[in-house]
Amino acid sequence: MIRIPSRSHIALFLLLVVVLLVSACSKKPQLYRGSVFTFGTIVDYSIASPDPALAKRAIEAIQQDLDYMHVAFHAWHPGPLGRVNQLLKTTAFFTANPSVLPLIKESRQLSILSQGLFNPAIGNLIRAWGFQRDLGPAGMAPPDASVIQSWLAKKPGMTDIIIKNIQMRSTNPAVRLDLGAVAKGYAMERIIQHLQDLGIKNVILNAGGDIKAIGHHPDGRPWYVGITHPRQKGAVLAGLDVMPGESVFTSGDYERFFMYKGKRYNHIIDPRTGYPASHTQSVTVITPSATLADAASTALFVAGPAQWPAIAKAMHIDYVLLVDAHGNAEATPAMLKRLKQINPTLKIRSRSLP
Amino acid sequence: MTLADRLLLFVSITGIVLLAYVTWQPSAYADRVEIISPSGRKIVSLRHDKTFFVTGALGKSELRIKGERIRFVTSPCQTKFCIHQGWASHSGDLRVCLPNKVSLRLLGSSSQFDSLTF
Amino acid sequence: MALVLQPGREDIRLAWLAALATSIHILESSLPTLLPGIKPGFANIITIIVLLRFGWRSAVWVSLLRVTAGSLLLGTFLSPTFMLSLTGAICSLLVLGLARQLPGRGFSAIGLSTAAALSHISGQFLLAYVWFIPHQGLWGLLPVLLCLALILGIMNGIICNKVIARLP
Repeated sequence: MIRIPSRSHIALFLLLVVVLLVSACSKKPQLYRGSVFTFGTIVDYSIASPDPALAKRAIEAIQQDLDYMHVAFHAWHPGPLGRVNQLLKTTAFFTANPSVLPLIKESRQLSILSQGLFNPAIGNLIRAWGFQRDLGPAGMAPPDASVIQSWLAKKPGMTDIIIKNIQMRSTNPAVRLDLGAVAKGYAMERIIQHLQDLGIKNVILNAGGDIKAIGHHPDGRPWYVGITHPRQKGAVLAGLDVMPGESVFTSGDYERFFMYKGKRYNHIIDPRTGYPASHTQSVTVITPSATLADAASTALFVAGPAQWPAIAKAMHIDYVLLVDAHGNAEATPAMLKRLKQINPTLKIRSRSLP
Repeated sequence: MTLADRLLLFVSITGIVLLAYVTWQPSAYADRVEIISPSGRKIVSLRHDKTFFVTGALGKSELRIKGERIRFVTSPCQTKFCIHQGWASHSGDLRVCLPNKVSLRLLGSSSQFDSLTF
Repeated sequence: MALVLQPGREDIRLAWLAALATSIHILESSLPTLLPGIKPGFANIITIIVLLRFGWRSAVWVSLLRVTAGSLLLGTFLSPTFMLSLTGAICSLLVLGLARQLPGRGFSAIGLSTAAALSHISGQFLLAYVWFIPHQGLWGLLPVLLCLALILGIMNGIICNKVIARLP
C-alpha cells in the first residue's frame, strides 16, 4: 500500500527545500583582512572567500612565498642574488640560480624598454649612497663626488649582461644587481598566481604601498583604492577603481630618504647622473603586470616631469599620475578619466603620450 | 539690504562652501590603532591615554597612547628606529619595529578605501 | 546705614528689555527643535533692535542678562549649556561691536543679525570642540551649522526690520 503524503507534509518538505536553497545562495564570501610581516615590509591583504580554511591557506601562502623570495632576491644579505652578484664580477659564464634567473631576465627586458632609467645593475651606486643597509637614515650622508664620477665612468647596465639559456655572464665587472625596484612587483605577481591556483578569485594585496588586485570586493563593486598625498599626511590625491587583474604602484621620494644639511636625498637614484632623482615627489602607474608596474614607477620617477610621457609610451603604460618636486600634478587623459574624489587642492594637468 | 549686507552674505556663502570642501575630505582622522605582533593582531582605541607593553620576537616594546596619538617608547631592538619615528596620529600612519616584529597602523573610523598606495 | 538702590530710567528700560528677551528665550526653548541644539534664536531679535536703537552697551546688558536669567529660570545655570550660550553671546556681541564701527550706512538689521548668528554658532562650535568633543570628525559638522546660522540670521534680520518699522 502506497502512502501518499498529506498536503501539510508536502508543504513542509517544500519549505525545507526552499530554506536550504536560500541558505546556499546567501553564502556570501567573507572578507578576511590582515597584515603579515614579510619581504622587509608589511603586506596587507583582503581576501574574499566563502571558505575560512581556504583563506587561512592563502594567508600562509602569502607569508611563506614572500619569505622565500625575500631571501632569494635580497640585494645585500647572503642568498641566491648575492651569489649571482659575486659570479657576475668574474665576467665568466656561470649557471644562474633558477630562483632568480626569470626575474633577472624580465628586469633586463624592462630596463631596455625604459631606456635605462630603470637600471637594476646600479647596485654599487646604491651601496655607495648607503641605501643597502638595515639601519635607519641616522648618520647617512651623500658619497664623495669622486666616487660617483668613477662609478659613472664604468657605466654598468643590463645590456652588459648576457643570458644564454640557464647560463649568464656580465661583460662589465662593475655590474652589481639590486632588484629592489622590481622584486616586489615580481613577487606580487607570483603570489597572486599562487592564490589563484589555490582557488581564490577575489583578493587585493598591498605590499608596502604597492597594490595588485584580482576580482572584486564581496559587495560586487570593484576594489577602491586611494593614492596617498606625497606631502600631506593622511590625505589622498585621488581614489580609483581597480579593474580585475590590475596593479597600482607608486614610487615616492618620501619612502626611503635621508636629510643632509637641509636637503632631502631619496633612494631612487638616477643612473644617468648618479644622484637621487629630485624632480618628482611621487608617481603612480596602473597596469596589469605588477613587475612592469614596479619597474615603470621607478623609471617614470627618474624621468620626472620632463620625460615621463615618452618613457610611459615606451613601456606601454597608459595610466600615469605624477606629482613633480613643486607639487604640480600631471596625468594622462586616460588616467584623469579614472580618478575619483580628486583632492580639491590639486590641479591636475592633462598630458597625452606622444 | 545694504551693500555691506550683500558683501557679508557673499563672503559667508563662499566661506561655507570652501569649508565644506575642505572638511568633507576623505578623512585623515584615526581613532583606533591596529597592533600586529607575534602574539596576534589586536585593535586598540586611541581615545583613552595609556601606556602598555606588546611582546614581540625580541622582547617587550612599550607603547604610549596620548591625545589620540601613539608611539614607541622603548623597544628591545638595536637601532631604536621605531622610537625615533615619533608620534603617529593620522589614519594610515605606520610605526614599525621590524626586529621585534611589532607594527602599529592607525585606522580611520570610516575608511572608504579598500587600500591606499604610498 | 541701609543700602538704597535708585534705578535710573536707563536701568528700567534695560531691565524691561532684558525681561522681554528672556521671556522669548524661555518660550522658544519649549518649542520642539528641528535639530538638536539649533534654535531659531528669536531672542536675538531683541538684541539687534536694542543695538540699533540704544547702542552697543545696552545690547551687551540685555544679551548677558537674558542668557543669565534664562539659564537660571530653566535650571541650566553654570551647566555646559549655559557655557555654550554665554560663549555664543559674547562672540556675537564682540562681532556686533566691530560691525557697528563700519563707516557709512554699514550693515542693516539683516547684516547685523547674520553676523551675530554666524559668530554665535562659531564661538559655540569652538568651545564644544576644545572642551567637550576634541574629535577631528566634528569639523564636518561646521559647514552645516554655519549654513543654518546664515539662514536663521537672515530670517531674524527680516523680522527685526518689520518690528522696527512698527515701532514709534
